[in-house]
Amino acid sequence: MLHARNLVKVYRTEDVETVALSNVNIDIEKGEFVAVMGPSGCGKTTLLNILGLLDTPTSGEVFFMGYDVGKYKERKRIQLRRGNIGFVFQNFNLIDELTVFENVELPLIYLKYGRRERQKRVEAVLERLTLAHRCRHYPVQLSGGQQQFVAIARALVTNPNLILADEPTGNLDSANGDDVMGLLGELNEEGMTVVTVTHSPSDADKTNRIIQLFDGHVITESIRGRL
Amino acid sequence: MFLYHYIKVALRSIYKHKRYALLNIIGLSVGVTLSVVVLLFVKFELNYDTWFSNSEDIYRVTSKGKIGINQINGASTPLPLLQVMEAIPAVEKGTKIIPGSNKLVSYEQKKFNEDGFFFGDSSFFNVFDLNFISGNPSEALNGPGKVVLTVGTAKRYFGYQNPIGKIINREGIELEVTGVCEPMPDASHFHFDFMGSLSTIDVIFKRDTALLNDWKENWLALNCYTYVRLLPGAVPFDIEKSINQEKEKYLLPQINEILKEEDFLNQEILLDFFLQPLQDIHLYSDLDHELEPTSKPIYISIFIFVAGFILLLTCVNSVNLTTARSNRRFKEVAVRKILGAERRYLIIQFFVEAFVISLLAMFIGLVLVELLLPVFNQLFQIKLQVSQIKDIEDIGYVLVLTFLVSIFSGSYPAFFFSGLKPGQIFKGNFRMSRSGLVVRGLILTSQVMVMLFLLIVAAGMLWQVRYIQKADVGFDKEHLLVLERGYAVGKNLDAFKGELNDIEGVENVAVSMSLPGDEYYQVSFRYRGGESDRKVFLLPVNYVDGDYFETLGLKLKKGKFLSGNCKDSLGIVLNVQALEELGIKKPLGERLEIIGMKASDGWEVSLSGVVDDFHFESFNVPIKPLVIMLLGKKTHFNYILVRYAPQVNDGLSGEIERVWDKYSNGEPLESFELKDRISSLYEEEFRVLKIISVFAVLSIFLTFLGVISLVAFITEYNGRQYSIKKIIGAAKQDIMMDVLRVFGGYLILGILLAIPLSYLALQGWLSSFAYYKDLPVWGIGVLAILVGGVSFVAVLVQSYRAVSDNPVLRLQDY
Repeated sequence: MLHARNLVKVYRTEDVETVALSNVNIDIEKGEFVAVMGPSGCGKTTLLNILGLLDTPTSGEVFFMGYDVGKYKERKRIQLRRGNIGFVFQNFNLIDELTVFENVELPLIYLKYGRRERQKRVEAVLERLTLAHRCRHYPVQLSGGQQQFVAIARALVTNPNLILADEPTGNLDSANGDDVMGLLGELNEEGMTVVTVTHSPSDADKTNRIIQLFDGHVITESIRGRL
Repeated sequence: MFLYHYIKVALRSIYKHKRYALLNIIGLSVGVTLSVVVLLFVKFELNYDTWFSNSEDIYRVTSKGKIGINQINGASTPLPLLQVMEAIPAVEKGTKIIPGSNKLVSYEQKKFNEDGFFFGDSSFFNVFDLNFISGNPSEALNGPGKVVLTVGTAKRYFGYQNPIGKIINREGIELEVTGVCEPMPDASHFHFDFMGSLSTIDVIFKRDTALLNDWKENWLALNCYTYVRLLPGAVPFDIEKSINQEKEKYLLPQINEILKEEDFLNQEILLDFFLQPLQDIHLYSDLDHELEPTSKPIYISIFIFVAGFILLLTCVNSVNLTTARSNRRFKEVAVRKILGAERRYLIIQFFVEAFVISLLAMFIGLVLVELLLPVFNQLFQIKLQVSQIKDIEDIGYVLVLTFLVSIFSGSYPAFFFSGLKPGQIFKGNFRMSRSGLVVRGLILTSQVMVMLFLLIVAAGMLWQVRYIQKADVGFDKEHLLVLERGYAVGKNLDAFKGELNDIEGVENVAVSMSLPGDEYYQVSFRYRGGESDRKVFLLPVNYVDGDYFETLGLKLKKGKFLSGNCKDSLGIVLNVQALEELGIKKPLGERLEIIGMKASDGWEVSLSGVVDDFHFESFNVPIKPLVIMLLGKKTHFNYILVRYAPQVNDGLSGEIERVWDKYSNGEPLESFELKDRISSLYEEEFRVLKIISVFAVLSIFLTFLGVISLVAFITEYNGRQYSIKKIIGAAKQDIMMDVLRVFGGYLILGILLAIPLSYLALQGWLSSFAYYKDLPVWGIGVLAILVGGVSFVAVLVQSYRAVSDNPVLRLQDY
């Protein structure tokens, strides 16, 4: 599903050049649950942004669902991303002006679904995550855990092929964190591909493959899941 | 669907960020209000005299030339001109009108002094085809003794009775009402309440037919206003050419006759006629003897410029306020992009948001226009009505304006935010360019500059107006009541004056033909002494009685003032300027000969005294030479001046009215304070001062809004830096000083630019005065310090709010 070859990402300012990723090679197949770990600044989020088609590599190739997306223009990347990748962030990134229902509905609007279809899908996903009773609430009226569940609902509503989660438990207490990781595991068991960036070894343990990054290099790869 | 979604989000965002949204909407509303008022004003000004059928083919005939040393550039023409013009085939129709003076008009018990009385020939309503309520417009002015009233006037005299056929009386002349018409529209270059038939003048002068005939045939007496309607396609230049050739037949013989007189040897008399489009009169005409004050196109340009500038500033403030919350918006944009929003959707979203805000501002602006229009009308002496916004064109203008405001205020956020890449945003490595900050700073500079500019100009104008009000005009203008149409007391003048003098508090009573500020009669004098022998001078003259000098409080320079004695009847008093103009070294006893006036032609008058120069015209013009002579027994005079003691009781006006009623045969009393009349000479200056002051107040408001917007933007722009500094120990005041440092340069630059510009503008305005007083340097300094000080305080207050947030919480946002 996702293949990165000799991925390099360099950030340049006037005087400084920072190498965020250096010759990274990764293959993630459909149905995997992968954790990317590593110290701060090692390039985890950069890798996730590139794998999620939010950013482009300086050099190297990225294949997503068979497409060579490394050189895609932004518009084309958006089109490919839309409906195929769901994102979950550490700080939830819900839109404050929209209700729970509307936040979850938003990706479907950009996919130009009809009103009835949107309603059906949103209700179904909220029901599944036991958030239906909160559908008229605004994000500020929810707890952190609930907000992250809404963010996951938003990621799920388009029925994507891949979920990318950037430290999804980073802003949550352990109970809520466990719930979120449990949910991601459940989704994976249903066949969804999930890639999560995390600092937490216990979260990483819940996945079936761990990629360790250090200074932009992949240093180890636990293949427990493959065995 | 998108639209609904965006509108919903915009409204919720406005609700959530009430403070910013309110500032934004109020700022834009002010710009919109001003812009709609300017629309109304410009539309009003451009629609002058467009109301009549074929208005574009109607022209006023004007006169240009010179008689001796006097230049003629007038709106009036000789009476016989129209007849000659009507013979030109391209002239379809013509009419002439003559304004009447302020006289008493009565119907049964109703009596009013009327100064809106005109005489027009029978074709007046064919050219100016006003709507008739009753009567026949083409016959209404046929024959003497006919009059057409406007609706309001008819109602005033006749209530709900049918006025047709009723007889009104205008100081002994009976006039039959033959029609009632709509009044001239507000945007017309003249207005009348009564239009009497021109041939009524024959009745008025029936005892003086020689004078009447001379007046009717004289090509050098410019006493009427002539209008012609040309056939479509006629070329005005060709008609001017024809008339100027044709007129020679009539004008030349009269000129030759005058030139035969020895005093006009080597002098020149020229007179030509020109056509002026009716629709151009209000904005482009500045001739002598205009029927009503005209305007200038520059005022329209200034209005449009200032309104455009203020609208632009409000849009810039709006951009600053919108982008000030950039951090929050970055996040939203990023989320939307990640969820699949293309750039165009985000652009549309920001525009929809700006449009919703503009629409709200437009709504508030239109309500403000409705509420404030009476205030604007009062302040600026204009007659604008909201009902002027009625046709599709105006609604289009309002929508285009809303759209433009949305484009201006929405485009920067739309393109700026939508262009950011989501990965960049989440990494926190986005940064606005330094040049963007500089542009914003320079916009603040221009706001401060305009504010201080307007404040200095308004202060300079106020300084001059106060100088005019306080300055010594050469006589005592306080405590002087003027009774209009004093001739109403007729032969009983002496008894009337005597009784007025007996009233407690009345110190003096005098009679005068003209008042300071009036247009004085011009009389030609021949002076045989002086350096150049036998020179002719055209000098302004005021006819007064012997009490005038003391009543007005004039200062004697030499000789004596004229008294009411018979021996002074051929005496004159000159002012110092007149002595200089005539070159009189030893004034007392010098003789001048009056020429040109039939009644007194060849009379010699002798110089009895010299009065110190006093301002008998406005401060706009230098004091001119003046001749003061005694009124003859039968000379018509206008004003009775009553000097009263400063501590007079309230009953004075009642007492004066009682005496007036006794002697004036029941005519209503009209009176005013002389100082008010003198103030009215500066109406235009007061008007400009008021307009500038309103703009200054607006600009103060907008500048402070600008300061608040920019501080909000800068504290957001540098928010991360300020939060970190606070965490590592910087005090609030250190951060505030940081903000101030960013601002200081821009503020000071604005102040420095405003000072020379406003000084130049003020000098330009003051140059229209012959007597003026500059705003002192300390005044400019105080204003500059005030503007600088208040701006700095505004910066500090706003930045204090911003730096009072919890830095840890703020940092989490980045």
